[in-house]
Amino acid sequence: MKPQQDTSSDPFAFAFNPQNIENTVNKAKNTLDNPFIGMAYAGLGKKFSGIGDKYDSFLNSVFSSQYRFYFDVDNMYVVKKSIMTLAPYLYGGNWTLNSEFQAISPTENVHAPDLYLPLMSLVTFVLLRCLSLGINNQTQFSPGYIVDSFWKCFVTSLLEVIIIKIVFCFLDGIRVNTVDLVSHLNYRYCSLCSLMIFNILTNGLFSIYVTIYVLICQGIFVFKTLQRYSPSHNQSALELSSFGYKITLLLALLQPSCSWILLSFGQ
Amino acid sequence: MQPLKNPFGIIDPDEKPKQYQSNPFDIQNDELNENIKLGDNVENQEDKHLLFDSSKQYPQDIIDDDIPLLEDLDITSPLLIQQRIMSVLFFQKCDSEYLEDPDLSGPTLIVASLGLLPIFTGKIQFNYIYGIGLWGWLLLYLLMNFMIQQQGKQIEFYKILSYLGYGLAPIVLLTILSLFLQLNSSFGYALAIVCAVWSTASVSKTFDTILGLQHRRLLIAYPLFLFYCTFVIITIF
Repeated sequence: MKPQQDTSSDPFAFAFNPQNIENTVNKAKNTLDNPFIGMAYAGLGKKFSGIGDKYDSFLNSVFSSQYRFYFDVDNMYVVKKSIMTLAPYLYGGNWTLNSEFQAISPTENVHAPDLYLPLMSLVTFVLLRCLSLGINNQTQFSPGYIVDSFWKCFVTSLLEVIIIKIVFCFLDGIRVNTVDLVSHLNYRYCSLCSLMIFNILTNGLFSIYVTIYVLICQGIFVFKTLQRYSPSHNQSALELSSFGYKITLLLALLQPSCSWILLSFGQ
Repeated sequence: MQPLKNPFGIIDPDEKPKQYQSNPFDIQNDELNENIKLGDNVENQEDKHLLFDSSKQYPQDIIDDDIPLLEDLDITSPLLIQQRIMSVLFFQKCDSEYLEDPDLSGPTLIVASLGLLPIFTGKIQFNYIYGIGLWGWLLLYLLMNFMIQQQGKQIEFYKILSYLGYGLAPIVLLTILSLFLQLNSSFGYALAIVCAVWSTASVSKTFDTILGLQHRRLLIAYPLFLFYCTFVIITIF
């Protein structure tokens, strides 16, 4: 008779004849049925499951922190803000908040920054671009276009935020909350969405005039929003006020140029 | 059949003589180079077990509670999955059992069919479904939890995945229709919008119950609408 080979601890046990595989199975069954080994595994399992508890309280603290005010929106705020991006000249006067350092909910003040509208309009803009490409020439569309569009928008927004942050640093060290800046600069996706909807509905008629109008509105919107951070508001010296005015104007021009870059790439 | 031992029939003079197999009743046919195991030649295969020793037939330790494997793993019957899919498709009220204990077997089935059905039209889109699903899941998780302005209340990660997964059921219907119709037409667009709105309406019901933000129902529904529109767009184009 052939000697029975011990296949239970052999890594190449699978290569043996099926007649000898019973050894492996029986030994494994004995290990699992052993209560002490069962307890050891149960202890390991408890240890692994307890790792997630640390993160639960961390997540709770994140979701209850000051950043939740950026998402505290309601229907009236969304409507008002969208109208503001399309026709900012309707809202005259200074666009300031009562207190700069306290987090204000957008439901209380229309000029408070929020992140819901920019995020939603960004995704809507990407989807509308895909839709217009699919309607006009379907052969060019592939699902990778969604990813491409999203990355272009993301990179453009990121560069804009970085540039403005650097310029503000040079200007007397003005401190702007980065999340506030991200919020202020990305309202343009809202007006770009309306532009795309107009282009899809009218099939490209008058598109150049509407584009110019939308870009001018974006410039006005950003100019008025960034005015609250410019030196002309904080200091009363005449020299600085005109300088701050010009810088804010220049920065406001950055927004339409980035939007124009976004619209011209692709398609 | 056993793998061939000497396929070219080369005779090795130094080869040791063959020894008995472990079961002396097995037939070793050298010419055909096969090993006929005991019981292979029996005409009536149902009575094959009678050839073997009955004492060695069953394993030594017998499992007392003989539960079927699916129940043992706590995966309840396919009827439950069907029930939940029907409740999404027909706008039925979601039962409280589903809210407390959502499962992932239904969404897995739905996502697999969403990936497999377009193959018949030549589109292989598993990577995009996976990517869109993953990023949409993460962003919706963050958004929903930030929009709950109360402390201590939180939707869990995997629960959102389950709700979103079941909401993809109308989009599977759209995919089935895309196999037979050309959806890049005005009828197709109307159908696509209807499916997206259908999915959104049924899932936003679940989210409303959990989040308790009835006055912001449209604001909760809009991100879900965008999520399902992405799937609709990759289906129709």
